[in-house]
Amino acid sequence: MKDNFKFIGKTLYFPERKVLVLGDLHLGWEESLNEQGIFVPRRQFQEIVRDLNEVFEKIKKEKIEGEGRIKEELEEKIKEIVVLGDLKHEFGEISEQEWREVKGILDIFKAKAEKVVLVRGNHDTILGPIAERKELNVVDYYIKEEICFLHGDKIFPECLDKKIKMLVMAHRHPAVVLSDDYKKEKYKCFLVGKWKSKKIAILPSFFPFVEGMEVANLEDNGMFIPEEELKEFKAYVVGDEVYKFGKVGEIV
Amino acid sequence: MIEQINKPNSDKEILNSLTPLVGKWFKEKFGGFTESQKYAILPIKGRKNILVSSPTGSGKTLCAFASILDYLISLEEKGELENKTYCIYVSPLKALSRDIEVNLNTPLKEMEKIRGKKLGIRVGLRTGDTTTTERSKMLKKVPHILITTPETLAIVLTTRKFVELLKGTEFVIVDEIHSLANKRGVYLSLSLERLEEISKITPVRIGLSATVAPLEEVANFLVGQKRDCLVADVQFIKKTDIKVITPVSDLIDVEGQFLHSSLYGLLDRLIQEHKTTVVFTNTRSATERVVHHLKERFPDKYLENIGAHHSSLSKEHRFNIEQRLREGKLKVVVTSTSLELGIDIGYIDLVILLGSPKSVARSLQRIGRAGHKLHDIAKGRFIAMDRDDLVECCVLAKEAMERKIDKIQIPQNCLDVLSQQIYGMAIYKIWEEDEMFSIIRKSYCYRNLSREDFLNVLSYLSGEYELEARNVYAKVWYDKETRQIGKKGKLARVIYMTNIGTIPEESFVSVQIAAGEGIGQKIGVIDEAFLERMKKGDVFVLGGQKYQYMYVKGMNIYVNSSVKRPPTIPSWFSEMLPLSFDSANEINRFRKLVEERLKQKNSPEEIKGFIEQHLYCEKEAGEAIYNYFYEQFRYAVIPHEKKIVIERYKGEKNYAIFHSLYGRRVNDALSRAMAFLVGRAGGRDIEVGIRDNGFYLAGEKLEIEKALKFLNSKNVEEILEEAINKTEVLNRRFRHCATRALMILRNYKGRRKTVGKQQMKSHFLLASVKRISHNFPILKEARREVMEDLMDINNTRVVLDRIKEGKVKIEQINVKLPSPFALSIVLEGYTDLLKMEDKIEFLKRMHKEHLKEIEERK
Repeated sequence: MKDNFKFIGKTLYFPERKVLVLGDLHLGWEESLNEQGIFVPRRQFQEIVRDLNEVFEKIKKEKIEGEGRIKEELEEKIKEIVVLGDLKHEFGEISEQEWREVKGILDIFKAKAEKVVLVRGNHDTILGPIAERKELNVVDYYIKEEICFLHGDKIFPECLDKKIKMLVMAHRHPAVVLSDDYKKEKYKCFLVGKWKSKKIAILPSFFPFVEGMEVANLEDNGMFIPEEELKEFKAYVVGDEVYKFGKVGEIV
Repeated sequence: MIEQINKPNSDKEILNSLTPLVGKWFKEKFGGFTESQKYAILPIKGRKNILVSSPTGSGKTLCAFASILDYLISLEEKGELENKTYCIYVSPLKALSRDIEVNLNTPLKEMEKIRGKKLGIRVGLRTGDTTTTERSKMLKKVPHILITTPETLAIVLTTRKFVELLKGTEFVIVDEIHSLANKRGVYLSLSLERLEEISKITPVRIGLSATVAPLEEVANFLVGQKRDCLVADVQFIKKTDIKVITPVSDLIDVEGQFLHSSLYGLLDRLIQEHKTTVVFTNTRSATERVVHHLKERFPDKYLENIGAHHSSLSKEHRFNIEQRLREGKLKVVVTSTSLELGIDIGYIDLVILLGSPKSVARSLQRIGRAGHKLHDIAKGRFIAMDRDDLVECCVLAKEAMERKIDKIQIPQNCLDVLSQQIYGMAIYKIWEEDEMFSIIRKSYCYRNLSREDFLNVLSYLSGEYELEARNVYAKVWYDKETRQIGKKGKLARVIYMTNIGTIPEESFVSVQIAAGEGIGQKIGVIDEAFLERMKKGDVFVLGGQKYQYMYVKGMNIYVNSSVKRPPTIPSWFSEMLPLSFDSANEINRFRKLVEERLKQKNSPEEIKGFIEQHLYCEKEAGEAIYNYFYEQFRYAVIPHEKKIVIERYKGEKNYAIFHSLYGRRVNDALSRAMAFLVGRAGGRDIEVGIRDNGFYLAGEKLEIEKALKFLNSKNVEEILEEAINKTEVLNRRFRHCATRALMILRNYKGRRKTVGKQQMKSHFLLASVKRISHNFPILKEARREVMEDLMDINNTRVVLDRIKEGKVKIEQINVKLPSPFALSIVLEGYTDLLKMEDKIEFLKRMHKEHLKEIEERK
């Protein structure tokens, strides 16, 4: 099966295709808080880089354990990195520091993969110029054979084409709250399910610090898949590893 | 040197020193001087710093102003009155400032009448509400007496034009100083040092205080380090008539409904027997409840003549109530803490204290609202609702009658307040590091400030700590070469002026029952930030009742009142006042005295007699207290000042109930430290319940012996630091501190942030600050605030030392059911859970349980 995928930290990895998917990095979030008068220290960039390196390490390990190949081959690049939008947080003007950070992240991607695909998110309105500088295109959606990658805030007719078997998206920042009467904790999670007879995978945000939004009775979840249907999706909870839970609507 | 004045001056001595006009006015208006005036007028004339402590209605305000008015009038007569501010009067209440303006302007008018012409003495009010026009008027016609609030004083001190006018200030009056033993007071203490620094003349400091102890500390707080101050202690002169009563004679075999109706019957009787009554409750929601029930039960008696007065009500509403009180139009006003301060409320002939006021000082302050004039007798009635409350009220009443006042604690080295003040100082001018440091250390609240903490605050303010790369948001610059400090940014003054203050901003959401018993009823308010953390189905406690959160609409939250589940959210936001450590010790002493007599097999009559005599209480109360103690003595052991009893029993979980009657603040610290140690030794998640008279721990595995042995006064701070690290309480306090330290700006670029938004963002901020440094100054301050102000780590150390030295013994007993004394601890304690388990561990466990459930379903 070529659409086999693995959960690696907050990312999705297709081993056969060597495609790594992640979304919602929201670089510059701190800056936007500063704009609102909140004196937040700048930690986000470092944390994102650290988390990314962990992902790359794990992919290496997967190869060793999974395929038992020899060392040289491990250096073989990931073929593609697909960013599912909202690489950058703010809509407004872009600062020097943000330029540097966005460029820094793109450089890391380019060094690790043969191809980098940037899907446009609802926050990415001004990503264009930087991407251009790095000779990258920003697309509304990206179709690779029977898989379609998109941000998730809106749907495009091409994504609904019959030959598309699977949609991979982000945008929703899904999270679950686990509770045992006394204690409550929130975790980032993947949601996997079916919609319009296509397989759907929704990624958690890669953004550190904040877990995300619980699947609850939201009237408007900002997605084209109604919240009611999301409740039928299965949750894969991100901890030290990724744990499979049942239907997200049934987790208490 | 702090020196007590022992002898009042005579009327003659005072009259001789006053100008004829002022003397005449006093004689015509009052015939003579009140006790506090006899103590204070001459020392103030002699330019001595002074703290005057006396009850409300003793002419305190006038005793401060008399000498100053006299001085101004004598200048005016000589034609030497300058266009400058001679006196600054600072009051913690805005409404009070208005009140004083009236009280100051009236005497002036009357003196002008005697004189037959204008005196030309100007009184100016400047608060946050003062308009720009009024402010610029003040710059031309400078008020000789400036009336202001602590916050506005700080703003004025950064305004160059205004500072020029304040440089010749000769007197500073701080009114209601007893209510400033908090961060507002700390803040003011620094402002006073800043004022001193800009002044050409050292202003005389005059503090006016109601019942407070220790006077020496308050005097130090008023004048700062190494300065002299006189203390006029005239607080014990007002006569009081104090009694404790209960709605029913037997507080234990009584149906809730009956107790309830008896209470309102009693309240009604007392109110009807008097002309005007003020009822004090301890919470805002109780205030509303009492008004509601009185109206409902006696619709023909209470309609227009009853009112509620508490801090969540609108300003207009409160002014209206105060006005109607003064006019004698109200029969009864029900209030929480908002009428404790000295707003003039006219003639009150009875004060009812519903439930224990938790401290002697507060009891006296509240009772003192009755009989406004000094020669009146202040009549106060405590109404106790349960047996613990009865014992507590009786002991407080005893202490109030004997005038044993519990000590206040003034916060020390608050780094958030310091940040704000340094910012203000930097806006005013460029400073040398040493100069700034030494001025700060002159404040009593910063006398022990370390250079390290000071420099850390500077690092924070100047944007070190990786706070930013572009230096746009740094508030000051600090040059390590020249060791100079100055402001940064064009917006500095605006940011400062729109964001200063020390009172954390709260907003409230009202709670209404939408299902279950009492449908449609409004039960109170909760903090908006509290609501934010709740999700549907969560159970919380409000006013001692459990409610389940259903949905929210606008500023209302709708709940279900029939809930069986235990609370899922701890009520951190409980408004409960903590019992003071001193009063708690007094109750412990009483317990010991009763136990001794029970052990000596004294007859019941003898012991009841002793109780009545010791507590000055009525026969019924004595009987009820005797029965309560007797039951405890027979069933278990009476805990007291030399013995902490730990009851172990097994219910759904293992319980350990600690009878440590030291007040909630000490118990908060003790219980968390214990729970943390027990948790670390293998108990998974430990449930904690805290009350004034003890606490309990509950868990599947509960090994307390080792923890007890390990805990001591030296390691308790370190243990607590770890124990509170991940708690909501630290989160919340951090938000307050971050706001005070201007890390979170409430107002920025014309936008105002809601409390909810601040809370959300502060969450992120905290996560991020924790990664920088454990000792980040604002984080350190939040921890200090939790441990020293919210909890009471210093007295916790005292208790731990008593245990270690063998002065207090610990006795463990096993019981089948909680003992009578333990009931309230187990039943009513608010619960919290100490999160011992790591987040990942918790996930793994939940995952296993989840899989198991799926298995079972198959």
